[in-house]
Amino acid sequence: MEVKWGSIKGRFSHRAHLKRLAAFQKRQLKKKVEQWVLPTEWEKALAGFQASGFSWQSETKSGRGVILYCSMCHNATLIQFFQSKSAAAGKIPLEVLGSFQDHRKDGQTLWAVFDIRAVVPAYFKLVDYRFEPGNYELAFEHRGQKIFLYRWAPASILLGERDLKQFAEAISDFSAGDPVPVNMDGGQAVELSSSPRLKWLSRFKPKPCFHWLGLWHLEKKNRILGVKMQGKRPFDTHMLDRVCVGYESL
Amino acid sequence: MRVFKKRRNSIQISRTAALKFTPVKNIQISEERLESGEVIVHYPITLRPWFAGLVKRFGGTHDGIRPKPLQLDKLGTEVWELIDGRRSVSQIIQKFAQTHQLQHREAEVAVTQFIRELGKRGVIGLR
Repeated sequence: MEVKWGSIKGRFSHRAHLKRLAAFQKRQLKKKVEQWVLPTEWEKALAGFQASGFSWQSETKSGRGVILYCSMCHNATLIQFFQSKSAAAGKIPLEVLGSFQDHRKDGQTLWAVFDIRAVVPAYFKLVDYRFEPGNYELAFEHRGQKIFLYRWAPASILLGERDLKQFAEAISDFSAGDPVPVNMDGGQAVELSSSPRLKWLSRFKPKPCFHWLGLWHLEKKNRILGVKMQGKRPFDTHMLDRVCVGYESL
Repeated sequence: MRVFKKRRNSIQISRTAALKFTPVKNIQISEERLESGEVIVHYPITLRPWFAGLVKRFGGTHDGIRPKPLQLDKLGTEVWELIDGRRSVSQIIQKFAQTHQLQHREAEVAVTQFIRELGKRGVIGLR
């Protein structure tokens, strides 16, 4: 089985994409791709999508697939099932297609990278990332507001004799103010926030003036997680809480 | 003078094969343990002839070889202690990942980078 997806800008044409796919397969892999009428069961399973089917055949293998387009999230997905000539099709494709989703219904996006999992509002787009041994960082942006997710490991070595507050102070990004120790699910955590005195003036400043930083120590997992938010406008605190609650290390 | 030098073919080893090698410490190195538990490795470096001549003129050593210290941090010291001439790179990674509850891939990147760095300095060899 193969699944490929991508975001589409502008109008989506099933015919044009199938044509492009057929030309590529013919040129590169000497396979002939043809349009294929979807069975009623497949159509039912893919009720929420605009779907078109295709099939291909080579000397040893054959395949059937669908091109899906979701008008809600503007994502196009290609799902194809490979099949050797001797094997029967089975019910697996139907189960896969029936369970397929390309966006969540609650307006959030689940990000799962290596050992971190985070739920971030869908309108925040990923703008930067860094995966170095011991230090992961993801950055999201929406209308000048930024969310940064951090993960440090191994916490026992990074903290050493220090506590989380001292660790927060030692990190340049977190040294702008005085971190306040807080209790988070019985574990060690620190918070730091800053906002300008004259809030209306902040929109004229070139740099973001509202900052919120939170760090917490997952002792059992030997990790430190951190969320930073910055922007020119005040934050939606409920959203910030949701991001913190949904951010975890597996 | 040759304008276009022919590039030498370097030996390419697959990742799987490289992880099977066993790192061995250089017999010419000496170790020093600090109170903090961290290790300083003194490894020999060969001075360039002109610099060795200069050192000799000012009354330095005659053989052109000088020990250079390399201080390892806590994690470096741990990996250093795991290099015993018996464990393979892959076994060291596994042990390191287990100790610090790290994912295997993350531990692999960290340990292989460290071993490569030691190898470049001639502190260890791979067999």
